[in-house]
Amino acid sequence: MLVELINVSKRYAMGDVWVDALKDITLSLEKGEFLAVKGPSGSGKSTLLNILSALDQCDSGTVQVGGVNIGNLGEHKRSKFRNRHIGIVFQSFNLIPVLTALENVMYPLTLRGVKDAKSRALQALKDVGLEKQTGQRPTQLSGGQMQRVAIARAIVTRPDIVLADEPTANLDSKTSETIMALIQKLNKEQGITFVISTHDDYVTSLASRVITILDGELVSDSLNDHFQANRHERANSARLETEV
Amino acid sequence: MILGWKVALLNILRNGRRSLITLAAVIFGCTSLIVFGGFVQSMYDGMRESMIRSQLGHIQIYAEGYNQYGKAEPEKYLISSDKLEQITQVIEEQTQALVVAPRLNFNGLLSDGKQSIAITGIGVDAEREVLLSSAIHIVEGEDLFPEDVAAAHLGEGLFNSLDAQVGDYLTLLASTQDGAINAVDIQIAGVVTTGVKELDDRLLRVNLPLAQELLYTSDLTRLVVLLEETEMTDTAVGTLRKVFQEQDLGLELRSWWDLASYYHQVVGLFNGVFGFITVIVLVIVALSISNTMLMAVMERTREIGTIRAMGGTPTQVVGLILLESVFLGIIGSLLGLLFGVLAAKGITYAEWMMPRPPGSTQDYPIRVFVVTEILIKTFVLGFLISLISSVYPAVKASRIPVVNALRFT
Repeated sequence: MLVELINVSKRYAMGDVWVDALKDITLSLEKGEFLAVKGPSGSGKSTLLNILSALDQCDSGTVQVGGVNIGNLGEHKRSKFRNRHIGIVFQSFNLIPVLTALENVMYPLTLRGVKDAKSRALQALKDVGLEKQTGQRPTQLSGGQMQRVAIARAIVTRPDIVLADEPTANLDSKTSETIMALIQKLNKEQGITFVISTHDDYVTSLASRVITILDGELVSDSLNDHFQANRHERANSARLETEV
Repeated sequence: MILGWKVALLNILRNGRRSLITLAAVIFGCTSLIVFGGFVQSMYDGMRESMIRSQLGHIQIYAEGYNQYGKAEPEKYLISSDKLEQITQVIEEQTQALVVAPRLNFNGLLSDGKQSIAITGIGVDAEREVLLSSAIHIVEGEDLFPEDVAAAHLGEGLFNSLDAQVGDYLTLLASTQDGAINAVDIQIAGVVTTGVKELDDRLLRVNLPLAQELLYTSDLTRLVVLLEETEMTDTAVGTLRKVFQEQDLGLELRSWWDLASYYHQVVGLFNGVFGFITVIVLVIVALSISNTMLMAVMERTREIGTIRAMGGTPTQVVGLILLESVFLGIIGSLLGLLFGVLAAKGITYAEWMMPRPPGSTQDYPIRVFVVTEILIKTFVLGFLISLISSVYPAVKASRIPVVNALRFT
């Protein structure tokens, strides 16, 4: 089990009122899964992703990623954990404007002093199809290209899991399709585990599994039809092979 | 690591106006310290050289015991004129002194017929004193010449107190070595100023033979030694002390440093003032830098959140912001040195006049020295203050919860 959440709850104070952002969420995730987190605005999707990515801590419950209980880690260790095990893609790309695409991708590696940061960053940019834009600054890139750089930055550390908070929300539909195709490809070809929060039905249609959160509660957890069909196919062919 | 340096450097260029404000604060601070420090140093130097070249010389040599008992019984602690040639030869050989000038000091009364005024008199070797007393300026009249036996120089204040003109004769009274009263006539050859009003109000300089005649002695109070450079004093003192002991000449000596108590008081006072001003300047610079860095950091809260989300630790965030300050500090301090040196040279070149200080009789041009020690201290202070001022903004930025930082708009 790559990720395991047991009875995770989180409350926020909004003025004098306390709001339950997550209520007793229990969820597990296998390596290589592509999970879409659905739900309306304010339902708790982002809070769930923040807790999964060790950006925030839950008030109660247990969060384990790769066997590590990240709820017990101090600030410094959580930072190190994020650097080694978590990749994050933001809705607004969040690239560092003074750096080139290549330098942006190198940055997480340089934070821990990786020596071959440049070659790994070049490879990551190649994986997202931006090998020709390595020297360009974010302002010289389109929205889709910036998000690809952000994805390259998220995968360059070879994380256990990549979390993306509405990664296509700021993109037009055509660019969104390209980005989602890229994420799907990375998931399938490189086995990278993705968790994506979204409102977009197109995005959820591509995921292998979809969970729905409403008012901080996990209200549904299902495998996608095409994934089930694929799984049946794979099971059938395996059975046939065995019989033969 | 290099990427961190690049981010820090590029962040400085990113908001040029804000960086310029920070740099301006550092440059202002450094320039102020260099100019004020250089001005104070020039004052110290001017005062020191003025005292050395008008009164003290670099070294004064007395008969043994003079400094301990000579005030009560000066006549018992005089240098015999028989030894003058031998002592002068020793001093000139050992120290390469420019001048060794004999002096005979006395107190007395100067009368113009209507009034008598207490004076501090010095009998001098007029030829040797020309170089030794180069900081004594003649306000009116002419130099002392050995052949004008009765010629005298009066301090400006003393001259103004008397009803007399240059060329007039006055009567000088003093006690001889035996305690008897003696009087001689002197002729005013010139009016002089040493730059120190208190001294000018009482100073009378006459030729040594006249002073010896007045006091009824052929001996001397002291020998005043002028060296080529003031910096040679300590070495010369050490050498002479050793030689005097070896040759058992019955002499003792004091350097200008031992004699210039007024100089030390002024230096102490100005060092205190300079220290206080330095603290004020540094506080102003620190507040300015801290404020601009705080604004810069707040504007980049989201970016800092991104770095933290990528796995940057709070320490790394602090390091990144401090690195920016290091660059700003280095650039600002270097520019501050440049501006400071230019300002120092410019002010000195302009020769603006300063009003005379208390106790002085002369206005003087502002001179600002470029002192290597001050430049180094200023650079280090400029650099450190930039760094220290950024600690609070850096720590504050590193402590913003990552989630809040990422939401910052």
